[in-house]
Amino acid sequence: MVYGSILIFYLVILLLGYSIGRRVGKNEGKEKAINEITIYLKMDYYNKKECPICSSPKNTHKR
Amino acid sequence: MLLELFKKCTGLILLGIVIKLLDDEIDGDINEKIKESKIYASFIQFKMPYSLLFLSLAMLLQPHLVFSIFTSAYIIGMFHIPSQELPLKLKAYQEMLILVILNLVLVPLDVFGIAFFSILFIQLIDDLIDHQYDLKYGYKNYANIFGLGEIIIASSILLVVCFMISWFNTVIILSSGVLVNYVYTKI
Repeated sequence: MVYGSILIFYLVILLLGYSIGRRVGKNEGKEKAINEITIYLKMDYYNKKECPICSSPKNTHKR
Repeated sequence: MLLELFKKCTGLILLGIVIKLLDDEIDGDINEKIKESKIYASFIQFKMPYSLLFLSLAMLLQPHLVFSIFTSAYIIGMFHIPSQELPLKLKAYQEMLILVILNLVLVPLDVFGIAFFSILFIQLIDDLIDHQYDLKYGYKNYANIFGLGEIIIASSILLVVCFMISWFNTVIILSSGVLVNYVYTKI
């Protein structure tokens, strides 16, 4: 009975910490992604020579 | 002692069959299973008399536990649609409240507790097993709403709570659930 209560207490605290941490991390990641997306898309174009969004070759974007 | 065990096991297996038929009725994809097996097709033709007979027999063999498990399966099935209007002119959360009050009045508290928590545990394990399938086809799934890790930790909390209340009943309920599921896939 005592061991069960201690285990439940530990698992409840684990659940709380994991869920809060995951949501905070997800929001931080979204903010960082919005700040860095342009440079990553430009690096992709520089390396592969075709647009990362519509896969058209150099400078002739499809409508 | 052995007679008690036999009555409990038989009652729970019959109740498992009834709940499985009820879930199939509500989920609505019976036709695929009908094409696959003949035993199921002939059973599903007379589902109403058979399920009423099995339910009343199970209720006689083990009155408190079977009633608690059946009503908590009803309640947990309604968690996804809390404000839908039902044919008895009550909303879904009102029906849930009536059933909970009935259980608290008529059934001892530890029996209701173990029934509710073990059915919730089985529901969470089912959601864990097919969370990819439900994500693809758009069914309601707790693991997709709340996240996979949270549901794993929550189901282990429920397992510890069920074991603390009564390990004997937990083992019997979970093993009869697994048995009914296995027979259903092999039939």
